[in-house]
Amino acid sequence: MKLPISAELLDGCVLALLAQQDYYGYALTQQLQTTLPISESTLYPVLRRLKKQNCLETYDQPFNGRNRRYYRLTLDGTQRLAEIRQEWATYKQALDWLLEGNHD
Amino acid sequence: MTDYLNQLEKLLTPLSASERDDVLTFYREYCIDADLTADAEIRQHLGTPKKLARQILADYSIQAEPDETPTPQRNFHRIWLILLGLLASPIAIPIAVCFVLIILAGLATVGLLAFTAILVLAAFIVLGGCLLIVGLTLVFKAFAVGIFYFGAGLAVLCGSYLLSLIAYNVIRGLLQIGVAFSQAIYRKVRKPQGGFNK
Repeated sequence: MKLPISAELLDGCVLALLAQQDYYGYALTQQLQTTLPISESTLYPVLRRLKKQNCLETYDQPFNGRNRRYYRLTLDGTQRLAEIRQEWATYKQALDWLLEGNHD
Repeated sequence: MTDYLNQLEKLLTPLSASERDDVLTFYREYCIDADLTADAEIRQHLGTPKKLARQILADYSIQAEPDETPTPQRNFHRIWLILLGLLASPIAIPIAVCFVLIILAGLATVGLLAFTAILVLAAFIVLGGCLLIVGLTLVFKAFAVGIFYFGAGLAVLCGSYLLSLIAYNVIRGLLQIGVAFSQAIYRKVRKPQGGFNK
């Protein structure tokens, strides 16, 4: 069975990873793919959208004679993550109640 | 790798130069980090350049760009990009085809409307021009008649100018609705971006 993950939750997952440390594109995709079956072309639009919403910013760091573009959480991003966590907690509680069926 | 990226670059021409650079930088870096060098390998991981480009373009077009004034041409272009995106995304085929046909039918209707408006306007402008010329030639022989034709010509020309404004705004409004509609469809129909396996 495959349950879809909404765009908003995916935003939350990306923000949550970036809350722990800064990532570059490939590493972030790898990290997400260890838990979520997302395709490799999924992440770029997500990162772009979050950057446009000022939830994250980028900086370049030299590596092996080239640059790596790292993504870093902003203050707006931290707030957004808190909102998504809150929504998820409510949603999770409601679904647990329904699915696990101990309604007495 | 350069071949794949060159193809991607060509397909991303609708984007501004800085946006295109951003995409290409991301995927160039991605391929190097993922150690993907052969074209076939990259295709296996990211899909064909065409598919990747369409995904990117459609994602761009569903996000409102606040600094852009929506002209009919831009809206038309946007709806087109969303259509391409719909066709490229892995969605339930029958529904997708249905929506694509609806959007195409809408576009065709607006296109025909614009075409008709242009024809009608052209007819009015020719008529107005003729009346002006007739009026000018008559004005020395029969002053009152000449002035009458001249005035009628001016009235027709001004009327067609007003009509063109109305037609332009109506068409722009329809395309605006079309953009909103296709964006909504794209968001709804597009298969969510992954899933939990259980």
